[in-house]
Amino acid sequence: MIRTNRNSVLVAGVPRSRGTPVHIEHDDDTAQTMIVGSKVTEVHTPQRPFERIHEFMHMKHTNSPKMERAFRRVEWIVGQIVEDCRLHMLHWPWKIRHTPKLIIADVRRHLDEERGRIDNARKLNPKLAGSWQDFAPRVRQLAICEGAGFIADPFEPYYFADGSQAHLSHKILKLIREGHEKVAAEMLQMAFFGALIPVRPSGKGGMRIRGDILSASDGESLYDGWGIDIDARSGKRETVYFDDEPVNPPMDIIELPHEIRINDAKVGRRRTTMGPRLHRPSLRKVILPQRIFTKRARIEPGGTILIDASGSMGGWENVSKWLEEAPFSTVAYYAGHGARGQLFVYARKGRRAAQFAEPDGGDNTVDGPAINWLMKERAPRIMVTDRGFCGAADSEAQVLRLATLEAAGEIEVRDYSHQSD
Amino acid sequence: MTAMNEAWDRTFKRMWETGIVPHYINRLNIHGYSRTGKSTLVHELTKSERVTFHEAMPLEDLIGGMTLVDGSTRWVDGPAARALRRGTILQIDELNDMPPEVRTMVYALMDSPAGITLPTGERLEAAPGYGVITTMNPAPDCLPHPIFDRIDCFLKADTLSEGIRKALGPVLASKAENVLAYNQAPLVWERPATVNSLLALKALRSAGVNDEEATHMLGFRGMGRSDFLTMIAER
Repeated sequence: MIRTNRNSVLVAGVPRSRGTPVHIEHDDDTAQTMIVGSKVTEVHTPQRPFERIHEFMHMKHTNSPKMERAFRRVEWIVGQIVEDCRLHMLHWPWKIRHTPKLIIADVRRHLDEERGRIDNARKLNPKLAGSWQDFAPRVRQLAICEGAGFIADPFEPYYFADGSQAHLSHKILKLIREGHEKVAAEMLQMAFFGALIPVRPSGKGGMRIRGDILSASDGESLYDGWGIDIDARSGKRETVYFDDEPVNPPMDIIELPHEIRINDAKVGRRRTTMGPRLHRPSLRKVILPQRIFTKRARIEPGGTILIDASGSMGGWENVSKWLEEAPFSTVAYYAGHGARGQLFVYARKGRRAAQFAEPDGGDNTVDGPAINWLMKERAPRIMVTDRGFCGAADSEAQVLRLATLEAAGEIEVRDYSHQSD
Repeated sequence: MTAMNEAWDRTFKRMWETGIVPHYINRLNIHGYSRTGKSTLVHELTKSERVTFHEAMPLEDLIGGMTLVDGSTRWVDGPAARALRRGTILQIDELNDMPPEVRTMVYALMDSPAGITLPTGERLEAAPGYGVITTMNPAPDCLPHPIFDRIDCFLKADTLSEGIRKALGPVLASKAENVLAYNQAPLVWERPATVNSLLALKALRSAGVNDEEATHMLGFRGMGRSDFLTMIAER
């Protein structure tokens, strides 16, 4: 049943500057706050104290225009989770240990119910472990516990799918606590959805990793620019640091001189689905094949291979072997040094450098920018890495991001620690 | 039993015995099913000046009037005037049956601070210890808003008082509880937040009552209780 509460005590606590919302009471679990511009117009609540308090915090503290600006490059649900965490950690109505017992009891009720739901979902479908649907409510639970004064341990066994997610949750909450909601949201977007949403002039979203994949038409980079502060006066971009580690650290891309032609990089004629000439023998077939044209092209199409050249990698023996197998591949390697990194393009378009250039350092650091570079290159994309990303504030997010891109078929990951082909 | 689900009669006794009523809160309403012991409890505990409203009640029955005494006409105080003068509790039973004639006088009696001007011209201000405790059967939403908004605390008498239970004995008392609500209008009412509820909260806080107990005393129930606690939270 739905009814309007004309004497709402909850709404009485909303400052006049935020508007005078209509309070709609529900008997089911409906909970929502409608904000138009900076005014709250409606609040829908169930008959449960915790959910009502949650909507109360939205009414008092959610700044819709600010959220739209901060979260314009992330999925709506990512922005919602970050905002929920922010409200609970920073705007819980009571100071630590002052939450009334009645409220504490209902917070526990909510946490237990939600934990039961997400644990059950994981049991029924183990593939959900570590996914966004599994991670997001758990990190929000940690924020709720912090606000209400409960002790919660993200490193409790099996709470998160693995240790890197536990570390990521800790970082995300710390970012939000310190006022960096935008960075936190973009880190989550990268980790679980693979890329930021490009902003088009019309304000509509663009590329998705799953479902329809469109290219960004406005020229704006899908990856670079996040985790970067822009000085309002000078317009200068500066890297955001978090706990002395850079978010999205700068990486120099160095094209080594490709002086040597790779032996097997042959160009000849091959059949294609379009081209300047018909392949006449195909016309004699009863059923016409799809590839009935020929064109001058590489015999073996290329792709891109990116190698994690951090200290854990080992030798370069495999690189030559890969070039033999895919001579037109673009091959690059990267490593970090302090708060920066370098990516060297060793081979491209059938030609390679005379020798490898030693990176300045043997750290990881620039795993994120390296993946950014790889995603702009031609498919198929292979990344050779042991996934031991570190040295940047978003390293854990980049590990998850790589897994997301791998699951979406965008990148094939080969682990050189197992000496795989 | 915690303060949050304490029976109404125990709450009232506690408020009286600790001095919350009348020194911090001095306008209280007890509403609920008939024969729960509301009026008896209030009168026995507070030794109140008592008046029962009915539709035809004249003003003189409340504040007093001129009477022939020993051949001369004198002013004789009514229950309200006596309560004001002596600093005792004025108990008004059946508040919902308030006659129109006395309405504005009741506003004055329930003001803070209370005071009335007698027909003799004398101005009577409330002496320390004065308070108004009202009882009635229906839910308070039947009261005119100026009366409703003057009441600080609302207690809901939905169970038998301890005195009635003792008088009946345990077996009959449990039967009586079962039939308490028979043929009576259900007591479905949620207190809204008003300016006076916040003034009353402040008074209770200064009496050392924590917010959870205060919410119970003020008469917030169900979701209204958690909503009020949320509304008054410091952050």
